Amino acid sequence: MARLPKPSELGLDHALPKKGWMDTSVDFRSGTWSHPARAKNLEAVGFLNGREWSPANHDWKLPANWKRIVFEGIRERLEKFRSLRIFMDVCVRCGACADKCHFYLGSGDPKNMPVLRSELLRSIYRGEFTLAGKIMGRLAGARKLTESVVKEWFYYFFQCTECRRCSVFCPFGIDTAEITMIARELLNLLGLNIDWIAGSVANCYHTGNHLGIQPHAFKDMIDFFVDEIEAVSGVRIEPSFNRKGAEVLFITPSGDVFADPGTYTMMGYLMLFHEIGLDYTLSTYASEGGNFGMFTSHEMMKRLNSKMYAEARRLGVKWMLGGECGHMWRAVNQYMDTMNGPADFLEVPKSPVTGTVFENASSTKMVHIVEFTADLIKNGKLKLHSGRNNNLVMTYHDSCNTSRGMGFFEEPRYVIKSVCNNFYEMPRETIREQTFCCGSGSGLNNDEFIEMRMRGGLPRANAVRFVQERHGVNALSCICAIDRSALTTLMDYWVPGVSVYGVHELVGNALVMQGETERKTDLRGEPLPGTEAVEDEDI
Amino acid sequence: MSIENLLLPRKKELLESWFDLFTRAYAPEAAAMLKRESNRFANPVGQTTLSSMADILDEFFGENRMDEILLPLDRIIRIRAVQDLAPSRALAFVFLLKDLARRFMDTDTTQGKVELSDLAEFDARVDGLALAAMDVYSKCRETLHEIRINEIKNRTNRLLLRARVIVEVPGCRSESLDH
Repeated sequence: MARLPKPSELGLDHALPKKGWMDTSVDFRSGTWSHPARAKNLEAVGFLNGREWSPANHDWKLPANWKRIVFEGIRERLEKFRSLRIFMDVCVRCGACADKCHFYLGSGDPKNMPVLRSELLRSIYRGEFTLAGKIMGRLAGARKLTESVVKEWFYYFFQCTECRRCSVFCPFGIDTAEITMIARELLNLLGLNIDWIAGSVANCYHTGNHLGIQPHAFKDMIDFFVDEIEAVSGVRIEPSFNRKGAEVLFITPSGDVFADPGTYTMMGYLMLFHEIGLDYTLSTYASEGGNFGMFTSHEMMKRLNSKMYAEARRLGVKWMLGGECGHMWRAVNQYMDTMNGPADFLEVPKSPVTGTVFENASSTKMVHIVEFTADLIKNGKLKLHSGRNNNLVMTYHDSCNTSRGMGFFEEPRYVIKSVCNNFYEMPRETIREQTFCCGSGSGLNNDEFIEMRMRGGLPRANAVRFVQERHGVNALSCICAIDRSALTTLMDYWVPGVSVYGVHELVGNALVMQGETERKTDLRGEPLPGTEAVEDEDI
Repeated sequence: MSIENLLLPRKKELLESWFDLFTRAYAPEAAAMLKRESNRFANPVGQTTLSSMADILDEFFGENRMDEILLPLDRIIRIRAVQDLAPSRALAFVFLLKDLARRFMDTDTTQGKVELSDLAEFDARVDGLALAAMDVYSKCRETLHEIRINEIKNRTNRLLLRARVIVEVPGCRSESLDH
């Protein structure tokens, strides 16, 4: 029987593995991995090798020809994506990315360094696909594909949120997120995905959104918001569903419709559209802006995304407006046009209120709601009473996908500053293109993964705590549905006292609507601050 | 002479050694980064731990007030509580102060400056710190489970309300659950 260790032994022994990193296999302890994809969710969309299995078991029930599947999968992708071949060949392991990953910073696990995480795949590429690797083996940083390697891939590529912070620092511009995307595709070929992703994909494919909410329930939730908006403002609004001939189709992540605090953001959109008299409709079929297909394969991302254009065509709208979401915008901004476009049947988006033509969306035909609202404010089309948000000392989290995937920095800040009087930025190295991930993106926001998420979210939370201590910040705004959910949890653990808001919830609070009664509460039902000193602040 | 008074002039050195021991629990690459990077935003674990250890020592060698020591203790342990460590490993760093103190007082003890009773008193203070650390650790883990539950509630509560699986008192606005 082992003797009890002394504190010095507990504290000191890092227990360095006896073998090198290439031969150190993963210990699948509960809480360090997300639940595996269930067979029915894979089969629902035609993914292969659906079965009941657990990462904790020795036997992962891989198909007999699994090695050939992986080899062919790599070969196919090397031919299809020139970027992948470059990313495999060009890295000189300089280490510039090493300490930029939030998971590495939070965990200290060397295999969370982007360079080493990529090396998990790159070493197989070298060992199996390059002459130098085949001849020189370990000397060339190459190794052979084994079942243990596949398990390691599953462990670490589902500990990357595809946030791309590391790629900002890479002198060669290697997009590590894309390496993770390819690695996940390869795993997916073997039926190795996580259920939080696979279930959402299956639901989205069959019912139109991640949660599998059917059209009547979707409409029911919006009706519920209509009641709540009336209770707060006295204004009754009438959104339309699946209405043919509307000018604009509005699509947002389903988290805004069903999950708090995103629901308040949804109310903000609805209030804004009513106030400016936008001719828009919601679709109960394209009822999801998010695209978890992106975390399985490019083909699945394309299939899920296709409903946006399909629904725009069916309803005969002129252009599309998209809600506050993260990876939805990476899919829309970077992939939609070439995947399912060109959307020649749509018109170049033009604001019916200001006349502004959104040239940047002339190809995709889809405009970001924050950009749309910023234009409204800039043109003085909204009556805003920013004092209604005076109880909030606000900071802003740049969502990874909109910042690094779109270069979208100024518009959200402009809107926030127009509706909030107290705004403080987090430190420079933690915002804009250097923003830290919430730690829960790319389909990892499941509850069984909570510890890893808290670890990964530490660098972000650490910067929020700084502005909380320095400026008394009590509110964190963002433009991503996963952020709204994940940051709420993150703040509750690391920085209690900071609440999370969608930008359009703030807009909804500040918006002075025609015919509204005196507001006593904000959209959350909390008493409005300073109601004794109401004054219009036309902007 | 109390051990605290003997160690006080060497507090900075003690802090460095304590932090060094702490970082050795991480892989060598990570340990090097924890020690090297001085930007608190680029190195949240290292810098939070270092500054919190400094605060703990200040208070420990000073008035040793519970309230003042809990905050920096919390800063460190909140990180350790989510780093996939057994509680014993997560909190071992507190006990290291005993070993460190003895190493630092080697000469003093041989010169008879330190009585056994002084050592016992010092050890008891470290034990007190360790017990407080246990409280903090438990609280962190409780919080972790609470937020996990709240997250699930936030995701589904509105649906349950609409499906009338939950029916609230008539006349009240529905509200999100605590988070």
